[in-house]
Amino acid sequence: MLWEILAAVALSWTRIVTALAISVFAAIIVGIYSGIYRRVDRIAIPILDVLQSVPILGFFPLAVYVLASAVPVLGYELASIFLLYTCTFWNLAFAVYEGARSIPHSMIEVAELSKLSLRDRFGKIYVPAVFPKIVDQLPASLANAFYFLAASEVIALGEAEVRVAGIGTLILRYLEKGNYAGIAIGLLATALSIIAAYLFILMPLISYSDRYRFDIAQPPAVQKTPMIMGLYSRIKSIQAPLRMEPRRVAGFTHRVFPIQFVNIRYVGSDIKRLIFIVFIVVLLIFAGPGIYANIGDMWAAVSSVASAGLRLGLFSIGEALAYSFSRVLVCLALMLAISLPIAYVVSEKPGLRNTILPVLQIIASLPSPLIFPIISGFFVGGTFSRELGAVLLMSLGSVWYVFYSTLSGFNKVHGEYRELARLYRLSGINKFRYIYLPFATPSIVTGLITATGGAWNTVIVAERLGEGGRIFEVQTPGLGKLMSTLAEIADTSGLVFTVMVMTAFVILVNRLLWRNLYDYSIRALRIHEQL
Amino acid sequence: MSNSEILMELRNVTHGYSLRSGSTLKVIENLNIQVRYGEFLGIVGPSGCGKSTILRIMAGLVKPLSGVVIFRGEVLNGTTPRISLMHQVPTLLPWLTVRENIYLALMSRKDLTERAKQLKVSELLELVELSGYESAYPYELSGGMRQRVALARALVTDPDLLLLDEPFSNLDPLTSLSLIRELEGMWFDTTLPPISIVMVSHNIEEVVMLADRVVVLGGRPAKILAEVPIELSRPRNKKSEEFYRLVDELFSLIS
Repeated sequence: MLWEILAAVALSWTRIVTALAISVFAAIIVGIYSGIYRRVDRIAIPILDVLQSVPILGFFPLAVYVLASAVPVLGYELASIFLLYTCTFWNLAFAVYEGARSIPHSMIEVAELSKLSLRDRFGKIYVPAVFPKIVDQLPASLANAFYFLAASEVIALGEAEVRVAGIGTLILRYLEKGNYAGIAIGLLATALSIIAAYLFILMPLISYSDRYRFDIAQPPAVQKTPMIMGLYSRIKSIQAPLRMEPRRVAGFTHRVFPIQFVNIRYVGSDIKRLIFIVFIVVLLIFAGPGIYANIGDMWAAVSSVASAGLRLGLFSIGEALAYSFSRVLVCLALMLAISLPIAYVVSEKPGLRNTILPVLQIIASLPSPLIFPIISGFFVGGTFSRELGAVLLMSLGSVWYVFYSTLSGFNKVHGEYRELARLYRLSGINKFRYIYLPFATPSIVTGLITATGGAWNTVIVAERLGEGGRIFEVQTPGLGKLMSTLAEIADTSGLVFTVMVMTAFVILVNRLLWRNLYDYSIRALRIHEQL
Repeated sequence: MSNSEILMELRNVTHGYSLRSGSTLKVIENLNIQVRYGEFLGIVGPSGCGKSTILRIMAGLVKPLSGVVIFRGEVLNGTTPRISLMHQVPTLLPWLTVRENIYLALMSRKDLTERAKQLKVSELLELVELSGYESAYPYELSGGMRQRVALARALVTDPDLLLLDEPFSNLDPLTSLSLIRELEGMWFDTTLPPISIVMVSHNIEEVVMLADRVVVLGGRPAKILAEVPIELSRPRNKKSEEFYRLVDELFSLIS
């Protein structure tokens, strides 16, 4: 059994590392090109933005179908890696993008003036500049990969279910057999492998990456000391962006066109709309053959999907949607309530970074859907406790996005501002309210946007866990519950319809709520640069 | 000189930071500096010699590894409203108006009524000639105006000691000159705070323009190389022979 477990852990890690490598590579290419070249920026970022907010898990069956039929033997492995890739890529891509955006323009000019080759540009400037950002995001990506580990290893295609070998499927098997020793050892082995990876790979990487940081807003990794040195270098480096910012002085233009400088991430709404349409068309092209092959006729497929909506009942879908959305909102509130105080404390006492963060990281990486069955007994009491269980399980999946972005927001508070709070002896609440929170708000909103995508994804897992909801299931309706039920009875057209409803809703909320909140926060805070 | 004439004193102050290798790199060692009542003290030295560190130790923001800071006859323990620090860049909060930014310094004071605080802010706004701008936001102001807001915030607490960390280095020469003149004017007015000023700078002309006495730092860890009194009459003329001689003297001490 031990060998079985070790082999499964190794296999799962191979997939995760492969997926991470692809994610990092893709994030570097996409993030840097979008960050540095305006034209790419306009197209790539809205696409990324839409894609990251779409519940990828819902599209998974389609991706599996395409990959499995295209590549006979390795198809399922590829599908598994593809899912892991989709849950590790987005935060990396946006981090690289932001990193590339913050490369001083003068440095890019130097590269152009000295006619550096493309290879040198990437090797000497771009990649080193975004390297710390990538390293910062790796823990979150890794945690997410482990969250979806079990989901990535069980590939359901209609009635057929393929399980690729890995620790996720192994533990599921033990669970089905009631082999609790196996589950315990399996989880322990996974936890130990994560701890080892953190201690021997991530931690050294993080401290190594410190030398590439020129955005010193980050508190120094070794605390007791560089405070002074850090202060000094901070002062020196803050000048640079300030000097480069002629529009800072030109307050008038800000007044007239406040929006123009406001946004780093979201570009003109016409382009966004266009891209949205393109996205839907591409989606149809991809989804078309799948449906076509299943039913034999494209038009029949469309009408079958449409009639699935009627069959399922628009009201019951709406009801399920409302329940799931409430869960997502409660989940976000919960994540924020957890993240704000902890991140605040960690950023106030950078010494804690080396103690609290590794612990959090390890907790984050533990594959919660695998652990949850063990504690799910506590949450089967009544409706309320089941709701609590679902929200908790959802939070475990995306709390890290909120936490890390909140922390990075708090870390953006420069040393001088921290000194200000001490000089004028601001109370904890005032310091939080007037200095820390405003500084961190854009980052927090960005984190919430990512986390919403994550929460919609986890809703599918959290509302109904295990075949037939054997392990855990909410009693009230839910879109995730509906989806997994439909997947189990191989109702493809119903599934496609539900996924479309969810996707449309997520995009709509993203557009109507989050965008505006982000823009509003930037405007209300009058932050025009340095973020 | 009797003790009563000394506002602040650094006694045998040593500070440094540990390197990753575990050893300690000393930035300043056994430093003794006195700030007298009513004095404008300049501290000059090459960049990286620990000038800013000294200022932060004086502000109570940084606790030295060894040695003590005596302020008004007592050991300084942490920050106090009696000592203000003005940063090199005007650290204004972009989401607060000019008035709110200045008010920030009084926010936590319990010994003042709300009305007294607001009056105090208005008074300072007038002093730095920003009366019409109280509801403007920092990004709407020029660099010099922002630095004046920062100055107002530093003075609103009625400090005995004002610490200036290269306050003019981010401004263009014209703006910095007018700000220097303003500061000097305020300085002359004995009814206004502060009692004493310590200014750190690597711009020697600026220091000769303003200071009564200049402490020259150098070496690693930094030590006092010389103390030069500036006894020129005010307002000082940049073009006078005496002025040149002093600037030359300080330059040769540093380099």
